[in-house]
Amino acid sequence: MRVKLPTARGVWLLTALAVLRLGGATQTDTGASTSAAKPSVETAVAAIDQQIEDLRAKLAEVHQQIEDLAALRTAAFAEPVTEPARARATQAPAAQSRVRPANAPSAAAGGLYDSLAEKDPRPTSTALRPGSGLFGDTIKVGGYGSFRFEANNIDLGPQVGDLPRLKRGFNSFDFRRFVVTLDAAPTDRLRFYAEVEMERLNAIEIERNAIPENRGRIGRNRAGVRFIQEVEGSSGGELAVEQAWAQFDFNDKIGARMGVVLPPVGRFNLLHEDDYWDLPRRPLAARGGPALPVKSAWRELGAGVVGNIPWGQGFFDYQAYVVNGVQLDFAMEEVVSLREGRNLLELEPELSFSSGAFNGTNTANAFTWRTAFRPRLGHEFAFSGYHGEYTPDYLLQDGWVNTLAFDGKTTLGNFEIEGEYIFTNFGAMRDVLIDMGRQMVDAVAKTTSAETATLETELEGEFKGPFTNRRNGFWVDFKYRLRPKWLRDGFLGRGFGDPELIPIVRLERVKFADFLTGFDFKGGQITRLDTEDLAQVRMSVGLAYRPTPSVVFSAAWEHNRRTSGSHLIFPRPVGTDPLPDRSFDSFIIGTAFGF
Amino acid sequence: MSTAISVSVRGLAAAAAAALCLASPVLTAERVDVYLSLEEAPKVMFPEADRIERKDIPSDEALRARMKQRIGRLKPSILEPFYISFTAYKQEQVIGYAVVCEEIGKHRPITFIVATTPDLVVKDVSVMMYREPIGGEVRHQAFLKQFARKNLEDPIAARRDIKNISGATLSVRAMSRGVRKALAFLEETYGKPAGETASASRAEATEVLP
Repeated sequence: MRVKLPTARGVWLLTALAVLRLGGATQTDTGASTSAAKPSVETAVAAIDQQIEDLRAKLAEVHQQIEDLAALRTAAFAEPVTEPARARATQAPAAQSRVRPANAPSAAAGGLYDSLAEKDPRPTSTALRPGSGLFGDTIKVGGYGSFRFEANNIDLGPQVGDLPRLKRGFNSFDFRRFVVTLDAAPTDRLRFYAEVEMERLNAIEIERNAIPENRGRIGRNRAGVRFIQEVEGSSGGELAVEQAWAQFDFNDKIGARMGVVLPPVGRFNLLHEDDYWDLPRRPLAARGGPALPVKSAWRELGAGVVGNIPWGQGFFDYQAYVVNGVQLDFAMEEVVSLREGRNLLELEPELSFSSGAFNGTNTANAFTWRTAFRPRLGHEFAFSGYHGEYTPDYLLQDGWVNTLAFDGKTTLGNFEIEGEYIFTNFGAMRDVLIDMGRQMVDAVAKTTSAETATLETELEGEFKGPFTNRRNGFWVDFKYRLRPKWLRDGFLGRGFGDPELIPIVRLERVKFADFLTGFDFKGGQITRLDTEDLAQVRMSVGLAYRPTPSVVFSAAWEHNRRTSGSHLIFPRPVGTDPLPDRSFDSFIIGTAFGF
Repeated sequence: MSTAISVSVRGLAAAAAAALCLASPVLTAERVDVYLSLEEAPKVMFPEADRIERKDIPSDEALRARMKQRIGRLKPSILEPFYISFTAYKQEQVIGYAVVCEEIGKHRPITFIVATTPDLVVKDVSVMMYREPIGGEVRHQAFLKQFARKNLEDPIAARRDIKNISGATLSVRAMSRGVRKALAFLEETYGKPAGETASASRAEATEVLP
């Protein structure tokens, strides 16, 4: 059989067919592999994209972790312990002093962990940081307050005609005080502290008005305008600035303090916060029959230095101020009477000693100081004093008051003894009164002493607060701190970390030498000067319960007894004569709190 | 005479002012505090150490609960979000532990470091920062040395085995609470309670420093 070879044309045709077929097959294969290959490329790309995103996320996470660690890290321990640093650590505290490092945390900006936690993005519970107040950590608001109930057996007043006998002792609640404190520390070398006291204060209401009167009424008094100015409030209420001072610390041993400060005389005036004490009444020498020139809390406006120096195993504290000083204050009632054949000028000054002026109107003439030594922890004794002129500048006679005090505290295990003794001498009081009388008469009569000598004058002084030549007094507390198991485990102690029961006995005494009860001033001379020596003792037996250190519930029985003079020094009821009772007893329950 | 006395008061004040001026180079020096930075604190606590390792240990609820159980009734006023603790070595032997803690005095935190022996008995306490206006006597060694040789079996409470400082009662109590808290943390962290792994092994950050 003969095979016919394809012609060239046929070869081309065959070739084209083959190419076409091959192309189609290829196309088919690619489509299948392209359609089979297409998904793998896209998937791969997508997978790669996903991996890239994952890596980016992980990289961000690692960056964040690095930042976290950097925020937590402090300067590396690059240097070994140096000899000076080691020496500082083992020497006495004074030698540990050094210049503050630049990277040290600020004292005013909260705690160390606060400042570190601020850089920590991990959420932290604010409940873990008590003390972060509304105004941040630079300003702290605190305070203390106290209330009590007293029942006593003070006798009723004398029978006067058919009038009911006057009640002079009351079974009553007493809002002693509520004090708001403000403590600001803008930096660790600057501080500001203030106390505002509301004592027995219910409300102060001021009415000031001018109202028409009797307008349009026929037959009435003539029409006009009535001016009303009334100040109402609870009797004995007081709103006062007790402290307001700024302090600049030169270093940890001395600082300068200026403002309204507490004269550091005795112990109680400095530690007068009610939540510190375990009895519901302040000592006689500090308050009821003050041996101080002004009853506690006595404050003055001035400037001085304060400091605390380590000394051996203990400390040496000191304070010294120049202040405006105690002033003899008076309010006067004038009565001018013209009687047949007799021209009489009657003056009734009300005299008292008070803190110095806060308005820059009297010379700063007083100096007060305190030095305290704590030889060992738990033991402290101190000497303090005051020296200042109390007479106003318009008096010719200068009167000076000097106070010396000794106080201390010692702790023997759970037993504590604490107390103070104060002595105050006003001196030259008679001369001061004569000068005052002359000045008052001259001022009222608007003439000279030479002319008023012919004018019959009567000046009968009334004294708001003790007016004495000399005063002295002491108090001493004996207390024992009990922490029985039944207290901790019972309902009184449940939820409290360290509740205490404190039985306490306080012995106290005050004495007023030459206590001025009254004087008459006539014809430029004192014609009568009534003085007597007064003395009163008090014994208090009480029990205090402290669920926390700043809260105290206390109960006490007091026995007060007059040991000299015609009347008790304390209490001094308002509007009545001094109490002639020989003695009286009180039962007091009270509470005090601080925050 | 009264004028003379008045002059003497003024003179005294003037003399005091003059004395202050003469002493001004000392007095006006930048405030020199008895406190320590984080850098210095462990070195001061362990001057004999040749290596100090720091661990910042986060404080979770479980750790806090265990600490509170060890502390007892005197609950701390602050529970830190984490604790900066140190381990001191000498010739690769542990010579002690330390932790930085804070407690509120009256209003503001007191920052301090408590160092213990390897047996977790207090070796030393030092105040790093004191912020209150009064009560700063707690910074001094005369007070702080009372904590030496204490452990959690002791009361470590003001007016018990820790003597109080009048006028600084709240700071004394804060330091007492703080030392108990520090011991509780160190016992939980570096002690080995039965059946429990010490928290230190789970610390997030460890710095080993030559």
